[in-house]
Amino acid sequence: MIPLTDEEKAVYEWQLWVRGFGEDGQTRLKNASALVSRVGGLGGPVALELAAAGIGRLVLAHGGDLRPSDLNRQVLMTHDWIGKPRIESAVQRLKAFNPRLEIEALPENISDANADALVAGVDIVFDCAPLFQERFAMNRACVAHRKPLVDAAMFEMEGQVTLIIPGETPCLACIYPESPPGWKRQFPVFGAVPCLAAAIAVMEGIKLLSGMGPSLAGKMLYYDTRTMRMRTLPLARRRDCAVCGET
Amino acid sequence: MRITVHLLGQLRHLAARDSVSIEVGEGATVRDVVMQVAAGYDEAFRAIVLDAQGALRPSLMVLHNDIPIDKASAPRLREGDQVTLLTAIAGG
Repeated sequence: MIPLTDEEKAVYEWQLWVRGFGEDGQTRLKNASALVSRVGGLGGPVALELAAAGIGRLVLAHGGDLRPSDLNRQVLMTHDWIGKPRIESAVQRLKAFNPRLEIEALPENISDANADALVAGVDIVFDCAPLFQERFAMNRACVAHRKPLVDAAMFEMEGQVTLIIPGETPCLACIYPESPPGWKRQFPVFGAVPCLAAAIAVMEGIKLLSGMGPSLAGKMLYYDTRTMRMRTLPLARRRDCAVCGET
Repeated sequence: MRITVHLLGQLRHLAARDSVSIEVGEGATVRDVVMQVAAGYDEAFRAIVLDAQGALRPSLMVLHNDIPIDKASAPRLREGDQVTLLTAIAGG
């Protein structure tokens, strides 16, 4: 593994004090890579916090141009970028924040056509896409390549996060064998709600990558900011799962 | 007996309320409760909860007193039980 530089030790000094993390955990994080699917309201803060924590390489996938209605939640975007590719704004913001970060950016969303190649090239995947077909494509690729998947999602004032470890935990298709009817790409959202899911997802990823050990493998943390209630729900594998099942 | 059904995700949005309290007969199952709640709402709500054959949808997570249940197990309820209906969400 590539060791930490003196500059990195200075930048990450405060988190090196975290019990169970230290220089060993920071070095592991520096040598790790993550795919973040979309860098909007949820994936944006995921990418930002991974960059802040000192992950070595990010692969970002997000198509389309910035719209005014993105700006209540997409914290990697800037007002002067309306009408231009979202992915370019995200890369600029992340590089300004952490110039040591290596970024591979794709101006397209995850699909069955690109998921395998993208997932195969990273250590962990953060699923932040607003459509079930994108999430299911990533899940299938993660199961096929045995890559951990942090699945984070939100709706209105609620959010949820789980860690999928193929072969050990339920996969996304075990939890949701189908897309629910009526799901739309546009949904009610305050920006702070996906930020909360992003923070939980990133901490789960950091713990896994640094060797601290995950907490949400096989469990779903569900939060409701309307009532400020959190639940941690046990999840079960489906033996007949079309993606990871035995049949 | 009286059962409280908590609505989360799209169901809460469609119903415009957090929960409903319903009266069911002795021996009622979770599925009976879900069917009764769904009958009080429109087609968009029912389509998220039930499939075309009237079975609970695989994408619906059902909690009985905060514990996820196997929807095929049809556990029976007691006075004061809480049922939570949690829909699949994918907002990013």
